Parts: sequence; structure tokens; C-alpha cells
Amino acid sequence: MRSPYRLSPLHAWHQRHSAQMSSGEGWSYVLHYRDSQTEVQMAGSTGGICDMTALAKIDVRGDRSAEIVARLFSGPMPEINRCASGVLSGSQLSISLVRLTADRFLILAAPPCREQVYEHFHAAAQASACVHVTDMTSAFMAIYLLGPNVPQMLKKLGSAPVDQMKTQSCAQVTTARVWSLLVHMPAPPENAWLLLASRDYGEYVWESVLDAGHALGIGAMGVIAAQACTGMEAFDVATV
Amino acid sequence: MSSGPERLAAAPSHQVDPSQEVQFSYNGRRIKALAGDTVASALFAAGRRIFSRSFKYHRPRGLLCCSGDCPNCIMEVDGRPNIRACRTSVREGMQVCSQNAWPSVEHDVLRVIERFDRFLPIGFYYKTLYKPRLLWKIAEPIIRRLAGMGRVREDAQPHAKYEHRYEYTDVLVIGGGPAGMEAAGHVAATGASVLLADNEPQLGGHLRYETRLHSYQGSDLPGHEVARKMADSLRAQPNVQILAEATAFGSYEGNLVPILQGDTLIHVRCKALIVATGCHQYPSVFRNNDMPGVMLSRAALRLINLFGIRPGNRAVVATSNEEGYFAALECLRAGMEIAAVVDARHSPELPPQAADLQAQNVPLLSGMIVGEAVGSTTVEGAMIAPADGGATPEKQTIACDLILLSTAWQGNAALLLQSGSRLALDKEIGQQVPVKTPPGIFAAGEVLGLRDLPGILRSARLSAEAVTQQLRQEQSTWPEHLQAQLEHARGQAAAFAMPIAGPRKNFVCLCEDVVEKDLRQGVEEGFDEIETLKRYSTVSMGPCQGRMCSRNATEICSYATNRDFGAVGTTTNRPPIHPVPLGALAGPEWHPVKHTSMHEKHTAVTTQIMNMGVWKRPLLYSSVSEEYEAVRTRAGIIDISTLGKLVVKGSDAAALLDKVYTHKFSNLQSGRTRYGVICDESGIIVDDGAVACLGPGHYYITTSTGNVDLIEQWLKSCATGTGWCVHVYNMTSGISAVNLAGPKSRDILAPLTDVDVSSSSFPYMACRQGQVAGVPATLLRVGFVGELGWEIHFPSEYGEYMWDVLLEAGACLGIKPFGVETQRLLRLEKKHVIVGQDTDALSNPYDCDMSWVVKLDKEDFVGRHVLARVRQQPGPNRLVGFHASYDGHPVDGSAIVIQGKLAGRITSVRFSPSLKKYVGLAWVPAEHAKPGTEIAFHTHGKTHPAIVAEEAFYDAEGARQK
Repeated sequence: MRSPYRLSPLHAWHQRHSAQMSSGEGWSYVLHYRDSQTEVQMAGSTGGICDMTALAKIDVRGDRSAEIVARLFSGPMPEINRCASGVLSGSQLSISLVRLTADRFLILAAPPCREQVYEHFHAAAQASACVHVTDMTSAFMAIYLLGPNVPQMLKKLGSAPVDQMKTQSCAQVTTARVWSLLVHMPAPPENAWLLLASRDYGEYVWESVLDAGHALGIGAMGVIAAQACTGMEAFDVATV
Repeated sequence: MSSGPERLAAAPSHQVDPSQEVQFSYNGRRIKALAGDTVASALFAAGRRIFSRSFKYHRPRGLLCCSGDCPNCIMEVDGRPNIRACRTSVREGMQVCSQNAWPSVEHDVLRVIERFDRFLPIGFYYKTLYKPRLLWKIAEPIIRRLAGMGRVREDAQPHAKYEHRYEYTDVLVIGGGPAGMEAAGHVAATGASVLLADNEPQLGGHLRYETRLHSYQGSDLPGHEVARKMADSLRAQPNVQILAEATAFGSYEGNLVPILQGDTLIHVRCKALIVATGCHQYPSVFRNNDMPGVMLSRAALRLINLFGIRPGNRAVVATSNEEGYFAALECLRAGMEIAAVVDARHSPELPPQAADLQAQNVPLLSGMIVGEAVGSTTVEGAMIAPADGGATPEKQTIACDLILLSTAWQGNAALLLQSGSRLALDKEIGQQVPVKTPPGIFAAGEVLGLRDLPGILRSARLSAEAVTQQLRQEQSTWPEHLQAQLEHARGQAAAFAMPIAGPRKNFVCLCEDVVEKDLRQGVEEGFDEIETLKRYSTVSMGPCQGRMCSRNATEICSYATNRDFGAVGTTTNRPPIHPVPLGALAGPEWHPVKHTSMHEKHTAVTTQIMNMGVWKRPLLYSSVSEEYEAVRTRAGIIDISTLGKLVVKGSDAAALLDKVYTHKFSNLQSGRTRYGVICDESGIIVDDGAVACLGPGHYYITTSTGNVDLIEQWLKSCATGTGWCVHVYNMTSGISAVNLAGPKSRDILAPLTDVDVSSSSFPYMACRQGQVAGVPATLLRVGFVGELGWEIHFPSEYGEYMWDVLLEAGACLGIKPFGVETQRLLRLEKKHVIVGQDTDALSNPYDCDMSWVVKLDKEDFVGRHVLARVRQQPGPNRLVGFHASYDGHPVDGSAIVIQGKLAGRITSVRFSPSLKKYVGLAWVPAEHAKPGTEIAFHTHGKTHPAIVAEEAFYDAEGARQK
């Protein structure tokens, strides 16, 4: 029997566009479409977008969720519609905490950390009266957007108040006419954004983003270029 | 190649560059233009005087406003109809055509229509073309062909890529004239973000084409120089964003202002809106006032000072304010002859420019108006008459080729009105001005009725100050404070409302060819309210949206009804105030589409993909018969990922389900699944699906494909305010699912999973969690298609893997994928209902023969009250199964006929291979719902018998799925 493999909803698109693929943690990743150096230059001068669907996304909600999160997250507790980076208490795992409401959080982590992060929060929630932890990794596709022209592109995609969104903020907005969660990632680098949308809409949202970014010189890039630009370990997943 | 008179010598105010030539095509002829020209200025410079033909009478029309306010220069540009030539910059190679004229705009034979104008009175089609009915059918296409605007080319390819953009700013300033720039600069100096939108290519407003001197920052500078300095200063401020050639066309709640810039629609939301849109001139009403050669004075100034073009050779200037004298002087400086300045005021206080005019022997005639434009096609003279309607002998005709009008002004207050502001007529200046604006809305400049630059700039600073106060959340003092400050400024802007003269071809609405006589007749016929008069006459309903006519129409209505102008009121102002392409409103061509995680696998083997809402689903892979045979005899697999999938968690999850579903779920044990129906408060079926209990306070729900968002919100809504610990997760996208069904399905599944799938361990309507092919999965043993089978739900990223694994595992057992069409047949044989197809907005569980899903013995639930009554008093119709032997092909929706009368409808019908006849579901009268009753259906023009069936058509006992 073959081994299970995981595909992003954009997998077929990547293949149609001659992506060089690799795998890690059961996921397929795009290393690059053209050459990584060109993609790095593109991201630096105009902008690039990278499929990061594999990013772990853990939903924590419930009356006492803030209490649980505060206990397990080493960084500062963000306000509503803000996010923060920190470490999972009792481990060395880097996580980003996105606060959607007073009692609802989304925890983002590198794909290899998914199970560990989930288990930590799940175990803590078990002891609490009304806190629920759900792995939403499969539910959302994620696009990492990077580059100076990305804010202009986002303004074309939907009603997100892009100029008002400082780094480490988030908003639930409409992107290309579908619901999405937009996160302005902590700097550096500047102008780094993460867009989460329903996985079903994956290819549609991806193509809409590229369509909006085309005139601004924004194109698709692989994880090598994304990692080179950001140094984020979330991209350090592919077997290069 | 066509070129006209020479241009004036280059001047600092000119926006054209004489060193750069541009060529374009007009009606097939090449026209020379200069960079910076508009199509209209280039054509005028090339000697063209007739720019369009009127809507109804095909009268020639020439340049009137040169500012995009009137309909006179509408043309087809690069295949796009109804483009204003005076607003369109020339581009090399562009194709421009006149429209609504045949054979040419200069010689339009359809002008003959005007000779029959006595047969075309106001509302003539209401009066003459309604009997016999056939008459209108014949007349309508002819009327539509002869009258109207440009035509959309049905074969035209999309020429533009429309985009939307969203901007947020502290302050939005509409208008880039002196008031707008001054206000923007002052607000920006406080650190607030400012977005300024102006519909001209350069900032400056009317100052751009003014050469008269203004005192500005201690110097006397010509208007265009003041404009340049102000614009440079504004551009230097980093927190000011300027949108040029951008038209704000509406104002909506929450300070949302849509702005069209090129092919981009910009949605701007602001904390405060400053309307500095200025004002526009409109023509007075006199005979032949629409003739080419009649021009507003500001249009002449634009031609002279922006484009270096003389608007004529010999002009009569009709005025009632000092602007007319300025215009006359500018024309003289441009080398024109001024035949006379005709001032409607009897003893006007003449401006200093009058002395200059007199020094050059220009006759200044006071107490006189232009009563008629004389000429056949273009102006050849102006007949002037006493303003108070004096005796005929006093009339005289002055030869001229241009009549300049500076007689009336109207503020561009549409955005203020749409924002909820109130306007009132200021009789001193003859203009409607804002007297009250809602919070967050401010006005500055000419729209307030101001004309002098110091007054305009002062009003802008006051508005900026008030805006700043609002941004600081201090009490804003506008407009009271401003009103007091403006009194002095208003006094300098004295004007006079021009009397309306003459009965014939005195045009009021240039867009719709409505004349003064039409409006008076409309009033006589009873349409004496301005809103009804507007609808009856179509005055102000054309492309100019009332800019050229609404004020005159109100005046005429006022005279005709003997009411005060204020009592007549104004028509409601609605967006868009400027024409907007539908493509711009629609935006980019993004049409959301959902794909399941196995979509690529489906498209690799079948092209028969159907749209199911936003989803794409395989309709068939091979044929219904092949797929049916596989499921009934071996195994089949179908992608059911489009089903809605909700997870409900929390200690009160069961209570929520009991409240929402008609069935009882608080007694559903872990590891069990139950069919559930959701009704609304009226007892109408909203949705159905499976509810699986995965553990204490942990439920997994499926809904029908199109209803998941509704049910998610429904559940959340029902939980709101209860204080319950319950959370609803929409996992539709995160969890994919397949239905593995058929007698061999167990043999396929068993080797792949760590779950014991024997009937004893995993009975019908049970659920289990485990691994399938190494993938975490939830298995539901349900039987929608009536065979032994499992729904396998798993994380979506494994979709393609799971599909391949199951097909490979079943290959030796003859498994086949089956599509939606086969599924429809399979479920129909089991009489399984599809909510939304077999039910409608009147269907309750009792009428659908599903009383077993309603548990009236449990506590209150949504719809219980009504359902309890329906149980006692069922509705008049029933959903029943039927079978029919028929050689044809009945279709869903066919009529049920009883005793020759329509009595119901078929909701689903298919040919059953196992029964060798058609089976289906239909709504029939209750008295005909008993099993064995003979009914009839009507299809393809004939009526055929059918028999009501009691049980499922296939495996009525359900032995196969158990």
C-alpha cells in the first residue's frame, strides 16, 4: 500500500505551472517555479506569493480560552484583531497567536509542530470547563504574501483596511468575494502578510490574487525564495 | 487629414503641448491634435462645430459646457458608446465616431422628425400607441431605432479590465479646485490622512483657465498661477493622496464614496467628507438655445486658456453677473470681436472689466436678454429683447457666430444631497446652497454659493477647521459658524435669475429633448408635482442627470403652478450622478468556484462536470446504467465532499441539537448516527442530514450541499443568549468525504482500516473513528443509495490519495466511481428525499410522510408549535412515490393531472433499471395519496397514468443496507 500524502488545493495549479516540487511532513511543497534567485528579487522589488497551506492552524475557543492561551504562550497576550509571536511554553516551538475575538484564538505554527502544538493545547483544554481546541489545518488554504506592492494588491482584492493594519494585526475580510483572514505578519520583513481562506476556494483565491497582483509585478514564488526573504522556519520544511 | 484654424500663441495656462502632435480618427478621417487636447478640443480646433445629434429630434448640438456636464459631445470612442468627448484625452490612433445620426452628424436625415413634433407631444406614446396593442409592438422597435443614445456593440470584445480598489482615509475631499486644495492642505497639516479626488487631469478647478489676477500670499497672480502654486504645495504633503481624473459618483451611508478613475472603481471610506465640487453654469431658456454656437462662458474660457482655441469670431455675451464681463474681456484678448454684452440686470453695478470693454467700444446693453439664437444649423445671430418682455420693436438681431451665456449657476451639490444634507434657495445669489449637513459632511467653495477667491479659501479653511475638530472628537461648529462667516462673501456674489422667455423650441432638457412647452403641457395635464412631472416628461433623466435642466424645470413648474420655487421642491438626487460603465460596477471577473479535494481526479477521467451552486461535481463518469449496475451488484464510490459538515462541541451541544432538530439527540449514544430534519418556526423543512455522536458533547453533522452556511448560522443563532457551552465549527472545507457503497464495499474497506466493519461491531446507523489507509477518518454507516455502505470522512489534504487508494483496493472487485446523476436514481429508488428538490417553501415533515422525524414529546424546539397543529390538521397535499410504465421520458417538474386539472407536480423522476419502469416523487392532493391510487402526469403534450406507491421501490425492508 502506498503512503498517505497531503496536497494543498493548489497542487494541480503548481504542476501546471512547472513548479519544482519537494515533500516534507507528508506535504508537497513548491521549491520554485523559475529559479529561486529570480523569485527572491521579485519578492524584494515588487512582491511574491507562496502557497503555505501546510502551515498548522489550531483553533482555540471558549469562555476560558484566554486563560489557557496565556498559560501556554510565552509571548505577550495580543488584543483582539492583533497577533503576537512567541514560544509554546515548555518547549522551543515558535508559534504565532492570532486573536480573533475575546475568546477565540488561532495558533499558527510550522507544519512539523502541528501535532505537538495541538496536543499541548488540547491537554490543557481538557482540564477546563469550556475551552475547545480544533485542528483547522485542513480547513484553510494559506498564502504568504511578501513585497512592497502587496498592500496595493490587497486593496484591489477586498475591503481590508490595509493602510490601517499595522504589523501584528489581523482582520476577517472579504478577499476576491470570499471570506478570509488577513494577518499582517510581524516585521521584519516589512510587508509580509498571510491570507487564510476556505480550502475549497483555494485555486480560485490563488488565481484571483495573482490576477490582482499581475499589473503590480507580483508573481508566484516557492518556499526557497520565501525562506530567503523571511528566514522564517515555517518555510524550512522542504527537503531541498 | 483635417485641421482647423490656427491655435493661439502658447501661454502658461495652456495644457496642450504644441510640440507633440497626436493623430486620431474621427468618423474615418484623421484629425491632428496636440498632446493635452481632449477629443472635443481637438475636433473644435479642427473646425468641427456639430458634435452630436439630439435624442429625439436629431437637432445638431455643439460644444456647450466643455466640462462633462452636458450631453452635447457624447460620442463613441474605441467602440465604447456615450463617451463625453470633452472629458476624454486624445490618444494616438484612437477611433472616434459620432452616434445617433445618419448618414453623418453634419447631415442627419433623421432631423425630419422635428417636422412632426406636433405629433410627438410630451408622453405621446402613452396617448397614441396603446390601441390596438399590436401598434406598440410595431412602433417600439422603430422608436428605439430612431431615438436614443449610442448603441452597445453586441459583438464587441471586452476592451477593459475593470478593477475595484478599497481605500480608507481620515478625510476625503471631493474637488481639486481652490476650495478643495485649501481644505485638504489645512487638514493635512494637522497630520490627518487626506485623499483628494478631482475629475480633471490637473488640480486647480476654474483657476486653471483664469488669467485675471488674484491676490494670493501677498502677490497678485493670474488664476492659473495660483492653481499651480496651491497644487505644488499640496503635492509636497506626504499624507495627501491625490486622485486625478477621478469622478466621485455617489455618497452612501457610513461615508462611503465610490470614485471612478479610469477603469478602476475605488471604494473610499472616510471619517469626514469635504464636498468642494464647485458649481456649474447652465443655459438660460430661449428659442434655439441648443444650437451649435451657444456656449457657456466657462467653456469659452477653457477653450481659450487651456487649449489655445478661439471659440468663435464674433460673440454676443449674455450675462447677469460679473463673470460675463470677464469672459468678454478674455475673448477680446484672444482676438475675437465682442458684438455686445447683454446684461439682464437693469442697472447693474458694473465690474472694473466693464470699463476695459467700453474702452474697446464694446456695447454694453443692460436690461436685455437673448431671446433667440438665429441660424439654420449653427448660430448666425442673436436676437435680443428686453428682459421684462417689452414691446416687439425693441427686439433686434445682432450678427454673431457665438452666444456666450453667463446667466445662471448651480452648485454641484448632489453628493451633499445624497449624504443627507438639506439645500435651500438663496435668493440673493439665485443658487441652492446647503443649509444643513449631517455630522461628518462638510462643504467648501463655490458649492456654497461663493464666487470670489478670498471667500472660497476662507470657507475651505473653516471647513478644514471643523473637520479637524471632529477628528479630535471635539464639538464641531460647522455649519453655524461657517454660515455667519459666509455672509460677507455672499454679498460679493450677487446674481440674478434669468427670466424665461418664449414658447417654442426653448430647450430645457438637452438630454431628452424636452422643451418648455412640454413641461407646461405636463402641468396642465395634472403632473404638477416636480417628481411626477419628471417621470412624465423624462426631464433630468438623461446623461446629465439634471445638471443642465433641473433648475430650469423647477422654475417652469413654479411659474406654471403659481407656486414659490421653494414650494415646488427638487427631485430626489440618487447615485450615480455621472454615468458609470456597468463593467466598473461589476468589477473584476472573479467568479468564486469551489473544488473538492478530489476534483483533479474527476476531471482526469470525465468531462461531465456539473455546477452545483459554486461547486463543481462530476455528473457522470461513464453511463448511468454502468454506474448503477456497479453500485447495485459490486461497489461504487462517489465524492460527497460538497456535503456541509459541521462539528458541534460543548457540554450543551445536545441541548442545542434538541432545540434545532425535530428529532431528539440528547439520547443519541456515542458511536451512533441519526437522521435529522431541521424546520423553521413555521414548521417548514429547512434542511436534513446525518447527526453522528462522536463522544460526550461532540457531534458531527452533515447538511445538504447548499445549506451549510445557513445551518451554521442557524445553530449559532439558536445558541445565542442561552449561556450554553457550545461551539459550532464549519469543517466543510477541512473534511472531504466519499460514499463507498455496494455489496462488495465491506470487502474493499475492511483491509484498509483498523475499524472492525462487521455488521455486529459496526451496525447500520453507527459511526466510528479510526484510520483508513493510514489516514485518520470518521466512518458513518448510512445508506443514502440503499446499499451496504460507508461514508468515509477524512482531512481534505488526503483527498486524492484516498480516492486512489479506494479505487485501487476495489479494482479487483469491480468498483466504479459514480456521479451525481446515478446517485439521484439510486436514492430515488429508495424514496429518499432531497431537501430543496423534492421539498419547497411549504413542505413540512408530515406532508412529506416523514412524521417519524418529529418528536413532539420532547421539550420545545424550533417549529414545534406549528408542527403540533399540522399533525392535527395536515396540509392539502402529500409527497408520494409513484411508478409509471411509459415509453417516453418524463422530466422533473412535469404536471400531475387529476380529472383533467392541474393537481400537483413531479419533483423527481428516473427510469429504474431494477423495476424496468419510471419511479419518482410527486406532490399530489391528499385524497389521492393513498397507495395504489391511480394518478396521471402530463409530459410532452400527453397525459400518462401512474400509480401511487407506499414503500420504497427498491429493497423496501432495507435489508441490503443493513
